[in-house]
Amino acid sequence: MTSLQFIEMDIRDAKAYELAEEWFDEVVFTKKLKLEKSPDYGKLKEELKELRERYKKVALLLITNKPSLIREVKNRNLKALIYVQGGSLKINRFALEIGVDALISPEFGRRDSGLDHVLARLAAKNDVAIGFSLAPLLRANPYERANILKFMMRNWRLIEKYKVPRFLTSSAESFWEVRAPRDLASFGIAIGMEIPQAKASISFYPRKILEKLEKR
Amino acid sequence: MNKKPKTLPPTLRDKQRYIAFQVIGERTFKSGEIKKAIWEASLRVLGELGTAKAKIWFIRFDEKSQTGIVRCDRAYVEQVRFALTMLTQINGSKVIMRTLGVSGTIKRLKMKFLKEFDWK
Repeated sequence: MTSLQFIEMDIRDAKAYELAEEWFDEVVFTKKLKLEKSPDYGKLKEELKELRERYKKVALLLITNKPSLIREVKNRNLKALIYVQGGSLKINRFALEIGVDALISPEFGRRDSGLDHVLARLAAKNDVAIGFSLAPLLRANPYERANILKFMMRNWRLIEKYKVPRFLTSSAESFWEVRAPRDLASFGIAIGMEIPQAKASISFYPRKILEKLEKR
Repeated sequence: MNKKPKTLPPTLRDKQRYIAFQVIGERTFKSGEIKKAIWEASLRVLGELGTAKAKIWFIRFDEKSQTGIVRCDRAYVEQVRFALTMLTQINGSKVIMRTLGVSGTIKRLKMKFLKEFDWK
């Protein structure tokens, strides 16, 4: 095989993690956190510590519609990567402005791509990665699939033009949603990437994000 | 009496690639199920025209090791791989299709990717 190190950035399930660990060189475990109000930080830190012992690299996926909560969590220094689930335009914009580690699928649940040239430029400036995730596609019906792919193609054009950091991930929430590295790359190619660009999106760019985590 | 057209000269032949894949499923699958699933996946993801251009052809599926070979046009390898990636279930049983590798000949494909699965 190639000497490239493949990294899976977003696995949300214990069993899925085991499988991904077989196929990838490094896997980041993501804890989903739905927020309505401020969480109990003592408990959260405790939980993250446990997860870190088990999975080494841990990320926190924030699902919220209150921008102030993203800032709060980000400033807490939790020793985990901070991802934000895209969807609402307000959240997309705020996540990019404040400079979290990654914005996962900005087109999620939307009827447009959730990203424009202004936001793409902002992402490049603040070094926020955009994550393309495969799992929503797998769950969708053909009509939704076609639309999601359309938005992803549009986002990819912006990301390429403004040189935004990006990565491909399965975002698996169960064992059956994990995909092998080369298959993830083919997903990247399907939304318009060249083969080297797709490979960089599962090795080079994730590596850069992990380096950020190590410095913390 | 020659019933078949003559084999084309090498420059005019279709340029093909063979893809080795492994099926990881809730249960083991029969060859026929996999064949049907691959065709349906290809028709759904690539469409009729895309499938025609990709010249997809099911070669073999080994039921013991749950691995198989599918043939396609060399310019459409990535599309076919994506079609297999998008497969989530066969006859109601959840499944992961994992491509093992691509080669120009069946012989090399077996040597490189299918040796560990006991292919002859």
